[in-house]
Amino acid sequence: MCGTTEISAPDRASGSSPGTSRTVMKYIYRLVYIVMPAAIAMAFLYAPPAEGLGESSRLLYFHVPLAWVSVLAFSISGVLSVLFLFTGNGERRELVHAAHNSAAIGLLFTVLATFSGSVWSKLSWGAYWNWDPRQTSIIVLMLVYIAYFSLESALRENPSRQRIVSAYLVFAMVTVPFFVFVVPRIFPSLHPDPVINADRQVHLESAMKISLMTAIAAFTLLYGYILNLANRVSAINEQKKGDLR
Amino acid sequence: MKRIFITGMLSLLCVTGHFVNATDDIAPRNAVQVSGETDMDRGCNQVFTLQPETAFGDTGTTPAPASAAPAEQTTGNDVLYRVAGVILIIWLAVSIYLFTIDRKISRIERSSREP
Amino acid sequence: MVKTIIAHIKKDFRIEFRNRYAVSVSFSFAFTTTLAISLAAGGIPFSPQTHAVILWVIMFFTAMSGLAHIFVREEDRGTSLFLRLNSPALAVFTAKLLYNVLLFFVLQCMILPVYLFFMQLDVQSPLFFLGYVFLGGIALSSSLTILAAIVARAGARGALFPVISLPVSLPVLWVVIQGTSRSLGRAGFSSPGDMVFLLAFSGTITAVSYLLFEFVWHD
Repeated sequence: MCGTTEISAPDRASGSSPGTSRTVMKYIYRLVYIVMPAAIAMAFLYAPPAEGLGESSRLLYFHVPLAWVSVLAFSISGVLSVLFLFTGNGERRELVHAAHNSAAIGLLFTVLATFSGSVWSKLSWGAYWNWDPRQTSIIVLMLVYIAYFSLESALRENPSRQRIVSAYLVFAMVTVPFFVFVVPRIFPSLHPDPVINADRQVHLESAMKISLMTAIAAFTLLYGYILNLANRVSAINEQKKGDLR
Repeated sequence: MKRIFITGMLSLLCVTGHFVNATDDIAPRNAVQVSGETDMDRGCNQVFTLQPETAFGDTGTTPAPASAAPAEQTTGNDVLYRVAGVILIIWLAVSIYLFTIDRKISRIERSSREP
Repeated sequence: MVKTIIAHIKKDFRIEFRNRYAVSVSFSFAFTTTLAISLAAGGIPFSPQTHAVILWVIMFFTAMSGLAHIFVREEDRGTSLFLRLNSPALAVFTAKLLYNVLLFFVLQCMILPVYLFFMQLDVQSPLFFLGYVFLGGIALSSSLTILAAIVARAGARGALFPVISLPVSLPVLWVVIQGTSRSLGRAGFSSPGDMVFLLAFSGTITAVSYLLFEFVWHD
């Protein structure tokens, strides 16, 4: 997902250069220019409205991918922080920059997911906010992001800033699954996540499934593309700092 | 990054504003009846039981006559085309922005690689 | 290692006993907050849910005012460098963790009677109520110790500690508030599953804290 991080050992072993892999990923991310319009068109023109929820169910094709990408961005941030802390003796600064960029993009997607979810909540349940456990978990994710950026700015002068914020992100990554996965299972939710059809079956019609998968792919590519751009900017900044030194 | 964030927020505001208005045309919202039941009960009733007329808190409305259904469907489809069009225009703007940034970054990378 | 840990705990408790800074500030906060709520309520009875919420909000902010002190004190007095050079990081963390857990336990023992007295709380399931309170306290103090170490290195500590602590504490708060309200309202209430969750959370967080403390502690 990261445009400028070093490629893992298997790529080196197969003889392909890191530059080739990066170029390939760049072109894969650019598929978003095709996949996203397709996802938008399918969401409105191909997928049928759900029974019970009506046309407002089309928000599914935006809200769910946004929520998925916000969690994905957070996980990738956490994984990159783990790699930074436990490999390379803290020298691999590109990992920290990539984690920071992923967190920034994740915060944007979390805000968008919260906003779209609250609109759907108003349409379905009559109120913008119900403190439903899933709504709460997305707010918790946003709080973690905000805490991460607050901590980073508070540690501006500290030479160990990168290690400390990485440690915080890893720590938060461990606690979030408790909230996201455990608590909604303990307490019942208003969220219709297992049910779209009125017969309470855990399934989507095939057209809806295809549209949802396309939307998820489109938003994931969008996230990867923006992350790639941000990492390339970070790499350029690091290079300029190195030149100045 | 800040500009991307602001663009994303503005896009979503446009989209959801349009969406809320569009779905209002398709299925008018009424205020949800407040009774002794909790949010959870109300939510569960709306989602899990087959009550399409109460899905949006609509109570006591009679179904539209059969002769009006095709006209409603046409209006519904028009609204969907409009919403899809607006979102595609927003995406076009975002994609042009991302593309220009991509090109600028590529140019800087090429110039930094040259000796 | 065990001797080092015990020596650190003794030292921390001795210093705390001499000036009683953390205990007095935290308990004063909890006491004044309870009084203010009791005064404002004016005898109006609250539901068990409301009591649980108020009690845990008081507990949480008491933890915010007291649990960071153990690391902040080391940084402010300049003794943290001495600790870094002379003691293994794990020994330091174990000592601080046990200190925080014991300190919060003492604070809870002081806050609970005050709350029960001024808020006229009638507990229906005392065993589970106490279980939730003390296990919740252990979960909170174990998760906040490493955050205290993080925040001690930063500026704007007073405002920053609640900001970074809240997302991490929310799973605990959610579970203990629900459990406490049920134990307050229902006689014969029993929910060992929640207790197991709190213990599992404490264990996981403590294990992760041990892994991460080296990176936070050393430059």
